[in-house]
Amino acid sequence: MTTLTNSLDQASSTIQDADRRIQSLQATLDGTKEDLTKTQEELTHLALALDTYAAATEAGQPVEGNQLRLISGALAAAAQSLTKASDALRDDVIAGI
Amino acid sequence: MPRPFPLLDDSVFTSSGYKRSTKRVGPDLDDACLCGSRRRTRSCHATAAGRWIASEPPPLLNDARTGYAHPECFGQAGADCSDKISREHWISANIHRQLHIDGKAPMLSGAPWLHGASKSVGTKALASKILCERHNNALSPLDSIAGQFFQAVRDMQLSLASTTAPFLGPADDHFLLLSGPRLQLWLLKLVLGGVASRSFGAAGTPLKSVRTQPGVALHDILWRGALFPNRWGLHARRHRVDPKGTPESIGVINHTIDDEVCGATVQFGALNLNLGLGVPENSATVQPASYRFDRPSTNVQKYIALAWPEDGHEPISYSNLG
Repeated sequence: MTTLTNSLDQASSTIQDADRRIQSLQATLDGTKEDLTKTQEELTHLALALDTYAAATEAGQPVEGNQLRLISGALAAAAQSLTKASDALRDDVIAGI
Repeated sequence: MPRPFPLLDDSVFTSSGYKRSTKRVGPDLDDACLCGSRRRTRSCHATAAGRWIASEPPPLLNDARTGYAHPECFGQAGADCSDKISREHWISANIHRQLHIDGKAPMLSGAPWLHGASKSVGTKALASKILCERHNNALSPLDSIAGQFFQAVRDMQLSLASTTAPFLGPADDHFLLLSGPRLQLWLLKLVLGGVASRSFGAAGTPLKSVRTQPGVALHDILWRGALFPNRWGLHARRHRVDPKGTPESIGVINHTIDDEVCGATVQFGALNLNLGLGVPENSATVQPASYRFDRPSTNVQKYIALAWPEDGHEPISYSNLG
C-alpha cells in the first residue's frame, strides 16, 4: 500500500513538474508570439516609412550633386608636401621594423 | 507714414574700429552709418530695433530690351542680348585671384570635366563663353560685391584663428554691411553660370538644366529686377559649422531634383551660403539677416549684416571657429 502511495506521489509530482514546464513553455511561446507581433508591427512601420520615402523621392527631394572646390595654390602645394613627407616617414618606419 | 528705406550702393562696407552697441552685437546705432551718409545708423540702414534695411536695389538692366537672343548666352530667354559673346567667370575672377597666392594658381576639383582629378587653373582658364557682352557687363557689380565679401569673410576667419595663433596678428572687432538682395543675385548668377559652363554635375555627368516653375523667369530675376518667389533665394541653417572649411578656398555643391539643378551651397571657408530655387524642405532653414562668427574664449566681434527691404530674416551664429 505504502509503495502504491509513494508511486502515486511520485507520479503526481512528475505531473506537477510537467505542468510547470508546460506553463513555462507556454509563457515562452506567448513571449515569442508577442515578440513576433512586435517585429511584424515594426516591419509594417518600416515598410510604411520606405513607401513614404519612395513617394517623397518621386515627388522630388533635393539631393547633393558634385562638390566642386577651388583651393589656393599655396595651400594645395603645402598639403601635397605634407602628404609626401608623411608618406616618406611611413616608408622609413616600415623599413626600420 | 513709415520712412522709405535708403538704397545701399553696390559696395561692401567694412569697419573694424567702431563703437560697440551696448544692447546687441555690432556697432552703436547712434553712431554714423557705415554707408557714409553721415546720418545716424538707426536713421539710415538700421531700424531702432536693430534690423538692417535697404530698399530693393535697382535692376541690373533697366533700358529697353534688344529683342535679340544670342544662342550661346545663358540669358538668351530674356531676348535682351547683344550680338557678341564674351567669357564669363561663373566663379568671380576677383575671388579666383585672391586664391592665387605665392605665385601658385588655385587647384580646382569636382567639375565633371575633370573626371575626378584636380587641376591647377589660371584665371582665364576658368572663364567660359556663356554670356553675351551686354549680360556679362551688367553682372559686374555682383562680382565686385562677391569679391569684397569673400575677402572680408576670409579676413574675419583668419583673424579669429589668430586668437589661438597670436603670430598671425591681433584680432579686432569687424563689422560688414552689404545688400542681401545683391548677394542673393550673385548666387543665382553662379548657379546659372555653373550649369551653362557644364561645371555642375551629378555622378560625374554634367547637369544641363535648372529647375524652375511656370511663371518664374530666372533671367528676369537676375537682370530685370523681378523678385524671387516667397521663401526662394538665400537661406542658411542655424548653427551649421564646417570646422574643416578653410578660408583659403571656395566650395560649391550643387543640389538637384531629377537631374535638374534646384540650388547650391557655396562655402566661403566655414560660412555656408545656400541658394534655393524652391521652398526649402528643412524647417530649420531660415533666411539670414546676419552672420556672426564667434569663439567662446574671446570677446572679439565678427559680424556681417545683410540689409533687406523686407522683414522675416533671422540672425545666424557660427561658433568655435578659428
